[in-house]
Amino acid sequence: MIEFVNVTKQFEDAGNIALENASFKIENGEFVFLVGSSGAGKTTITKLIMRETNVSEGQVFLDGIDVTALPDKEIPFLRRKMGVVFQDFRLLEDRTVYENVEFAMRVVGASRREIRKRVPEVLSEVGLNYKAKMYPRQLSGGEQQRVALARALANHPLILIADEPTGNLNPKTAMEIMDIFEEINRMGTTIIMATHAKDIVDVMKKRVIEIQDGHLVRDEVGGEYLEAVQV
Amino acid sequence: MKLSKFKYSFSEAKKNVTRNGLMSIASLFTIACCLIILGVFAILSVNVNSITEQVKDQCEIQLYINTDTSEERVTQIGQEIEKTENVKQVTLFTKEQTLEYAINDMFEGNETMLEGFEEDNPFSDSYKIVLNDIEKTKETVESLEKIADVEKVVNKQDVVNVVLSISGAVKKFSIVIMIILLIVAIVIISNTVKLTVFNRKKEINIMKYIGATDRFIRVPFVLEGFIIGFLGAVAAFLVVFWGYFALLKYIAGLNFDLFELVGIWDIAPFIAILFVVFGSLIGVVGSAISMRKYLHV
Repeated sequence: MIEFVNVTKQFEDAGNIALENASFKIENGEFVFLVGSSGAGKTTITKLIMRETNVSEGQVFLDGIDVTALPDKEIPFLRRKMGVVFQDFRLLEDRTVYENVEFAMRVVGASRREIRKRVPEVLSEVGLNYKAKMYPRQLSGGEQQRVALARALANHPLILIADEPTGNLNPKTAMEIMDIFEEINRMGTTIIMATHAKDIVDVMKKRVIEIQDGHLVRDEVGGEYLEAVQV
Repeated sequence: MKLSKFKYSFSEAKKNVTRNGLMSIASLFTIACCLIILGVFAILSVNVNSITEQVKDQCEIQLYINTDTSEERVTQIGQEIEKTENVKQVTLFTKEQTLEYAINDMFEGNETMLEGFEEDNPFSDSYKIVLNDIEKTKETVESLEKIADVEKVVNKQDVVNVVLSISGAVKKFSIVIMIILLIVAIVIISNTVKLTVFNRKKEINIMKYIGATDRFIRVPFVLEGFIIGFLGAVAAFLVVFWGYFALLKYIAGLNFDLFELVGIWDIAPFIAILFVVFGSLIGVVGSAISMRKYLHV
């Protein structure tokens, strides 16, 4: 379970408040959309969960552990509970699909046997096992995002954080990717997705947390991407 | 660190070295050059030390006794010299021995010049004295001069002083040069690794998101520095070894016997260890420095 308790984040360099007094809970296995206009504070929430940045005030709990108080050396182990997917895929261009996924497992010290077993498994989960030997540049945008998804899932994360995962994809491919997300969620992984994709949010009918100017303005189960939100 | 992780880090480091081929070669070459200069100064220092020791051994004091002194007194003077502080060894040269030496060695072929000297030997008895510590020559000479019937004490203090001051200056200069070279080499390798780190910023970023520890990220880069430093050390060793070997061979051909240079097998292990330690240290420290600022994601 993720819990934000009166969290405020003020960036020292910019001086502006990215998030103010935000409190909410996300239960294990939930699928949550973070919506809001650009700069509203969606990415700040994901960064706070990963401890890529820390709060100015308040606390963030992950399964009862206060993430804000974690010593720096514990952060890598916190992140191993999560998988991350970005809008720009962030794949390693000089490595094959297989090697990109293998890399994620190497990083956390998985054995060769585990890697040999898990990589084909996770590639087939995203429907890409037949392209294991290809390089990212040989793949379409949708396929590259699937590789990124496979990489994020390789280490069996409890939480999958996605920042605009369909931003660079056409509507049809975006929906295919969302099907994979839904399948992953059905298997029990919590999904937190920051997005601008109105169509997707409206179709999926999941919980929607809306942020405006650093304030949590709506938290609605089965919600929609409201017209009022400016893209 | 687990063996599998170390193997992975090492293979990543090897890949980095080849990926940045030209830059790695440039760094390797520069480090080798720095180490070669370092080696030249190290060899110079070792030889200056050895030559100083040889000069010390050769540096004797000659004590001359008044010509009319009795044999008994000469023996007594010998005992007094032995009792003097800092005296290691005393050898008597009688005036007869000195004359014989003059006839046979110094005036060889012109013996006629010394004809008649057997009856009226102009030389005096003398003692050849070897000291324990040549840096205390002045004090010892002063004590020896106080012994009765001593005509004069001749020493090569000036030569010794020159040798000692040259040796001291060479040592100090070598240390300064070594420190400068060490810093230069560290800066060079840290720039090479910085370039690698910069090229792989995206990869480091992803690693951080996946949950790689700082150590896991840092080790391949530090190993990369180590590999370049180590290879630079091997290259430098081969050049210095060959160069010194050629120098020794050249000097041996000159029949120069004033002093001996340190043998190649006496110095080779020292140079090898010096290079490997310095080369690896340069690599590891240089990489560690360039890694620091890239680990914050």
